[in-house]
This record gives sequence, structure tokens and C-alpha cells, in this order.
Amino acid sequence: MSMHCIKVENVTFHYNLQKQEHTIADLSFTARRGEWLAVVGHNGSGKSTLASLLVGLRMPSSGRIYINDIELKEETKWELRNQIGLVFQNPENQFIGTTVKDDVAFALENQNMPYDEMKQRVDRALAMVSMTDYADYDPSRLSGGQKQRVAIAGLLALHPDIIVLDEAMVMLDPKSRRGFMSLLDELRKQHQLTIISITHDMNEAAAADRILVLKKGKVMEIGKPGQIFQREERLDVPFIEALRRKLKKQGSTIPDKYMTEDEMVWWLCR
Amino acid sequence: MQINLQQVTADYQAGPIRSPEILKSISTTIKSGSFTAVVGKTGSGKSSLLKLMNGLLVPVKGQVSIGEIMITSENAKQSVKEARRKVGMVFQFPESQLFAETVEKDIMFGPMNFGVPKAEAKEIALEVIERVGLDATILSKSPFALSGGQKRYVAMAGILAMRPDILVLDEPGAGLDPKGKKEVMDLLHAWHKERGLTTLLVTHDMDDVALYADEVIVMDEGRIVFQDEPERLFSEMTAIHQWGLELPQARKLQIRIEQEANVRLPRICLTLDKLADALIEAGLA
Amino acid sequence: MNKLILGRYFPGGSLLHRIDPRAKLLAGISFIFILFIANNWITYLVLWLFTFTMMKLSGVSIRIYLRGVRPLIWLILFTVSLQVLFTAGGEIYIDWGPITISSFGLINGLYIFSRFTMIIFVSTVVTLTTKPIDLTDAINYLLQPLKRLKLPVDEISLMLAIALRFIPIILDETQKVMDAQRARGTVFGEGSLPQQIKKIVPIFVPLFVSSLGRAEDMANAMEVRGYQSNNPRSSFRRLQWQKTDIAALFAMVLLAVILFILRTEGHHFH
Ligand SMILES: Nc1ncnc2c1ncn2[C@@H]1O[C@H](COP(=O)(O)OP(=O)(O)O)[C@@H](O)[C@H]1O
Ligand SMILES: Nc1ncnc2c1ncn2[C@@H]1O[C@H](COP(=O)(O)OP(=O)(O)O)[C@@H](O)[C@H]1O
Ligand SMILES: [Mg+2]
Ligand SMILES: [Mg+2]
Repeated sequence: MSMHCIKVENVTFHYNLQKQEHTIADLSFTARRGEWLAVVGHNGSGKSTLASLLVGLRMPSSGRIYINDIELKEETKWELRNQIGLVFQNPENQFIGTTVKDDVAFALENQNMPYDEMKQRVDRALAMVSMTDYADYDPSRLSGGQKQRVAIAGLLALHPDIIVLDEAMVMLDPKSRRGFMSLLDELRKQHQLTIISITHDMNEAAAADRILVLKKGKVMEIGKPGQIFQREERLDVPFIEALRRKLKKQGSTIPDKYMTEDEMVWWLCR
Repeated sequence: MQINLQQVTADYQAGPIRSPEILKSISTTIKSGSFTAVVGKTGSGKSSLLKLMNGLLVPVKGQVSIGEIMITSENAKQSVKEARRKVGMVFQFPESQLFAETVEKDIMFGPMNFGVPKAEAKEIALEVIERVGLDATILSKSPFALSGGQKRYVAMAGILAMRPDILVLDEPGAGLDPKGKKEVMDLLHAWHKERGLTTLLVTHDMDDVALYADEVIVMDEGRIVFQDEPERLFSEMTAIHQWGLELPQARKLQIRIEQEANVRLPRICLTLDKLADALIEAGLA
Repeated sequence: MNKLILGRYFPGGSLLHRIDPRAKLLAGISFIFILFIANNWITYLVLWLFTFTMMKLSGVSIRIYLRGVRPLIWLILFTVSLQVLFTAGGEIYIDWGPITISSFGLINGLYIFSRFTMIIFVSTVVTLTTKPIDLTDAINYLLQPLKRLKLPVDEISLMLAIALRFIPIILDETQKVMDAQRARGTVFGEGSLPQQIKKIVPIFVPLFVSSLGRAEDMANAMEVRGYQSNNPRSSFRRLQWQKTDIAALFAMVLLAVILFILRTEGHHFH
């Protein structure tokens, strides 16, 4: 197996076949196993469309997508859905089961899995997201953050390799957001998960391994946070980078290169 | 326009089962012309507090005064109508309230409900759509054909068209990209200043509190537990933790720097600009 | 606002809550048939005793049951008065041609009234003590034989379960949209009928739009998690027969037997 668990090659997609305008235009990138890749871009830049292409909800007009070296096609998409899962923005709309554990079991039922194996996998998935105590809860009694944990458990039950998050943290308050992120990061490290997270939060993006900047359906840039935020013209930058630029403008001797928070604190306290 | 709450208790009555008290004996005054942020954990009663302002939630006990208008459980039917004329409310994800065939009609809906003649409502629609930075040609389009960001602006224009004296905002920037969110907040803030409005803003983003608010109310379990300037709030470290709040990013970094460098910056810094100034002043940068 | 009790679930841990939904559903249906065995005051007394015992066992206060009958009271009284006015026989108290008030009429009216209220009470007992989703499972189970007729029983149950999931969400949403339009000056429940109908548009359109969005999200979430409508699925939800369930059904048989013994032979009011 190659080290690229996702390979996107020259993918083009448009919703309206009459219009020439492409929602996704000649897009190519790869993601490594165990990597956290943040996808950023303005509203309408095609991020959600990209997510739906990656999980086979839509098929590219041209180009190819490979998941673990298998090409994603109508014939292979059902099989590949064990390997790649998607969490949507609104936790309410993706809760299918009537209780937490029913919801986690949904994907397993679809595999026609025997009860005993389902039970075991559901219990384990709930434990992985620390929601065991809520197994019998009704979704309306859960907070937004808890609902998204359940959504993750529903995917983990399938033992996937890749999880795609489409602005999954938007509806959460900052505290739940941080908890959810550190949970994902831990799961990623323990289980070699690849995470593709669509986000508007530049501080979250700064914590990713790499960032893909999408603009009008094209890859504007892809690279390490340091590289991406280095560019002066980018308006949305993490807080630390904004502070560094401000200090520089005010005549400080701070180095003219992107810094992480630790680097900045270390430099200030030198 | 000043807002005054006296010993207000409120709950939601859902069918035959009455909910427990959601707001518990709240008393406060919100000064005319102030920009007040309302913060607190999810479920602490922030949205319910806002709903008191225009009678979407009516006090069971106590009274709410909006300028001269007084809302109590007895006179609610009449007073609430008057209050809604004065209070413009931008809900969370306000684009979900759009319904008319054209943007223009949707914006005219509010003013016309309050008896503004059609011709005048049309003029107002044109004025506010330009004020929110959209092109006048959008007026004849269907609101459902617009992008997410544009829908949000149209919904806000529909509220501004009512010419409220009090603006009540429930997380107006939620779900937008950072640039879009900043534009929305700046627009509302500018409107607040221009018109001398009294504004209440519910937010989870402490940077918004730092940037825009001159006063902050903290809600916890249906009570107001704090009301003062943001600087005061963000120096109460233990209480902040207890109320489930965060610090603004600048303040968080300030505290880390002060600890690791073992220095004290000259003042409490809540925004990036103030922190940059203080760091330079203290000779750290 | 919503005063109807019938069809609501009341969380609790009573004996009735713990009985298998299939047993409860069967018992509820059989009660309707058993009602028709009764034909004299002693059998009706037994039924009333049974009904009150069930209401007590449910752990829900009698007041709530009474409130549940209130919306239907006019329908009941109308039917009862027809019975009273058009039944002749026994001692005649008032006689205006076809309209008579007789002792048979009064007794018959009382019986009809009892039947109505007991049906409402007992079905309320069933719905108050059974989660809607469990009822769906029970219906699914009882409908299984219809699969032989190529009826998509499992699909229907899944749709029903999802619909149940969405009811509270949609009610919540309705509340939000109504609040938003109220804030823009709409006063609901005022004005002439055409005016009132016009006010529905600003609620209905946003609800329709958001429901479409939710439905699409939900369909996508189901597909991403591998749901294909014609594939065989296993079921994670388990219904388990216990001794109490057998006992419950046995109690119904016993009730029927008692009524048979106590009913008046061959002597009917109809
Ligand atoms: N179902 C759809 N049908 C037609 N156009 C769509 C659909 N979904 C999205 N679009 C359009 O495609 C573009 C990209 O949308 P999207 O992928 O949702 O962007 P993002 O998630 O980055 O905000 C937008 O211009 C949007 O209007
Ligand atoms: N329409 C309603 N009916 C019943 N309870 C409600 C309703 N709206 C909110 N609540 C309850 O009121 C409490 C406060 O809610 P809310 O004012 O929305 O808090 P916040 O905006 O701070 O999250 C919560 O416990 C919530 O469950
Ligand atoms: Mg999107
Ligand atoms: Mg709220």
C-alpha cells in the first residue's frame, strides 16, 4: 500500500452542465496516511463539493480519485465507504438512530453484520469517544459537541482510515470545539487515521500538518502552515501571525517569518 | 433607549407540561446607547434574556421596561406589540427567516407589518440594501437564489429596515468565514454608532466582546452573575473558569507571556492592537 | 398550545414502561375487542377497574389523562347524546315522537361513554409508557408477515423511525421561525380568515426550505454510512420477550374470560 491514502488527480466537477463554470476545476492533491490536512477557503469556494466528491456522494465530471489505491467509482464506492467517512456541519441532520447506540450501529446494520459483532463494535466506538455513559440517550438530550462525538463514533465503528469533516465544529462553542479537536487528534495518532478537516478557524488550520487553500474550486496553495501563512497577501491568518505582523509594522525586531505560538513566546521571553 | 428589568422571572410553557424557571429573578439596567455583550455557557439563558426584550418571552413575574414601554404578564398583549416596533432582533442563522418571492418584498415585510406605507417601505428597502453593501439589482432576485453570505445580509437588512432603536443580536456571525464574520460585525457596530442604538450581542467569541462591547453581562443558570466592563471581567480568572468562559486570544497570550517571562505588562490587553502596544512598551518586542 | 396527550411519551420506569412494546401494542388492540364483550353494569365495572389500574400503574397522574380526554369531549358527548335520544325501551321519561329519553337510552349512553373514554385512556397508557421508536419496532415486528406480499416493511419502519426523529426538530424549527416573524411584526391568531391564511406563508416557506435541506443532509448521511435501500440489513435494536410480557398478554386473556363469565347471556341493548 502506498503512503498516499488519498490521491486526487485533475478532478473537475460542475453542478450545472449547461454552464461552463466549474465548481471544482482541475484539482489535484494527495494526503498521507495519518496526516491532518486542513482545507480552507471562503464560503462558496467549493469545499463542501470537494468533501462530497471524496466520499463518492457525487462523481467527478473528469479526473480520478483514489482511496487507498482503489479508484473511487460507482462500482467501488460502497466498498470504499468502509474506509472513508464524512461528518457534516449540522449534527442534528446526521443523527439517524433514535438513541446514541442505535445511531452508532446504523452503518453496521447496513453491512448486515451479526448482532454480537455489532454490539462489540458499538461499545468500543462509544468508548473511543468517551460517550459510553450516554449509550441509551435520546439525541435531543445531547449537546452539540456530544452529538458530533457520536457522529465520529458512528464512523469509527466501521474502522475507517480517513475521516472528512465539513465544518463539523461550527455549531460548537469554543470549549467543546477544543475538546472535540483534541479527541480527534488523539484518535488520529492511536489509529493512524487521516483527517481532512474543512474549517474557517485559522487557529485550527495552524495546528494541522498541512493546509490546502481552495479558491474558486482550484488549489491556490497547499503546504505547511508556516509556508501558507508566510504569504503577506493572505488576510485570514492565525492570531499569532497577525500579532507578529503587527509588531513588525510597529518597528519590532521580530523575525520576518511565520512563528508558532511556542516560538513567539520563546522569542519574546528570550 | 434604556432597558430595565425588575425581578424578572420567566419560563417556557410547552403544552400541558410547564418548564422549570429559565430566568430567575433578573434585575438589570442596560444604558441607552451602550453596546452590551451577553456571554455564558450553552443553556445559561442568553437567548431567553434577549427574547424578553421584545416579548417573545413574557415575564411570569416582574417587569421589563423598554424606554417608556412596560411589559408585564398582565399587559403583555398590548405592550409587546409596541416593544416589537422598537426592538430589531437578528436571530442565529437569520437567513432561515427569508420567505418572500423577492429580496425587496422580504425586506419590506417588517416595515409594512408596522404600518409603513408601501412606497416608503420600497424606499427603505433600497436604502438598507445599499447600506449592507449589496447591489440594488439584488432587490428583484429571489432570496433563495443568493449565496449564503448574501442571504445573511438580506436578512439583516430586513431587520434594519424596521428602524429599531434597540438592536438585539444572537450570534450574528455564526457559520461565516472569518472575513465574512468581521464584515458582519463591523457593519452592525457601525450601524449601532451611526444611529445611536442600544445593542445587545450574544456571542461565544470573547474576541468580539473585547473588540465591540463596552459592557458585558455574564449569564449562569438563568441568572445574571456579572455585569461590568470587559476589562474587569477578563481579570477575574477563577470566576471566568467557573462560568465556563474563555479569554480573548490576546489576553490568553498575555497571561502566558507574563508567566513565562516573569514580567507584568502595563495593563490588561484584550485586543491584538493593545497587546502589541504593551509588548513594545514593556521592551519585550 | 399543544394540549393533546394521546401520542406522547412520558419517560419513566414503571412496570408498564418495562413491558415489551409488542406485548403492549397487542394488549392495547385486544382491549378494544374485549370492550365489546361487556354488556352489563358489572362487566363495565370490571373494565373500569382494569383501566384505572393500568392508569395507576403507568405512574402518570390521573389529571394528565383527564386533560387528554378534554379535546375530544365534544365528540364523545355528541355520540352519547345521539344514543340517549334515539334509544327507546325500559322506562320512558320524556317522549317527543322519535326523540325519547328512556332508561335504556341513558344506560346505553353511559356504556358508550365508558367505551370511548376507556379506549382513550388505555391507548394513552400505551403511548405514554412506550417510546415512539419502540412502538415503531413493534409495528415492524407485527407487520413482518406482510413481507411475503412483497411489502417493504423494513423500509417503511425506517422511514417512520426517521420521521419520528424529525418531529421534535421540526416543531423546534417552527417555533424559531414563528419567533423570527413575530419579531418582524407578525401577530398570529389575529385578523380575518384570509389574513390569517396569508400569515402562514412566512412560516411555511422557510420551514419547507429548511426541511428540504435537512432531508438532503439526512439522505447524504445515510448514503455515506452505506445505506442502500434494497440491501439486506441486520437490526441492532432487539426486542426481548420476558416473563412479564407473557404475563401481560395472559392478563388480557384473563380479562376476556372474566367478562365472558359475567356478561348477560343473549340479552343485548342493540
Ligand atoms: N447542490 C448544488 N447545486 C448547485 N450548485 C451548488 C450546489 N451546492 C453548491 N453549489 C454551488 O457550488 C459552489 C461551491 O459550493 P460549496 O462546495 O458548498 O462551497 P463551500 O463549502 O466552500 O462554501 C457555490 O457557488 C454553490 O452555490
Ligand atoms: N422554546 C423552549 N421551550 C422550552 N425550554 C426552552 C426553550 N428554549 C430554551 N429552553 C431552555 O431554556 C434554557 C436556556 O436556553 P437559552 O436561553 O436558549 O440558553 P442559551 O442561549 O444561553 O444557550 C435551556 O435549558 C433550554 O433548554
Ligand atoms: Mg460548505
Ligand atoms: Mg442561544
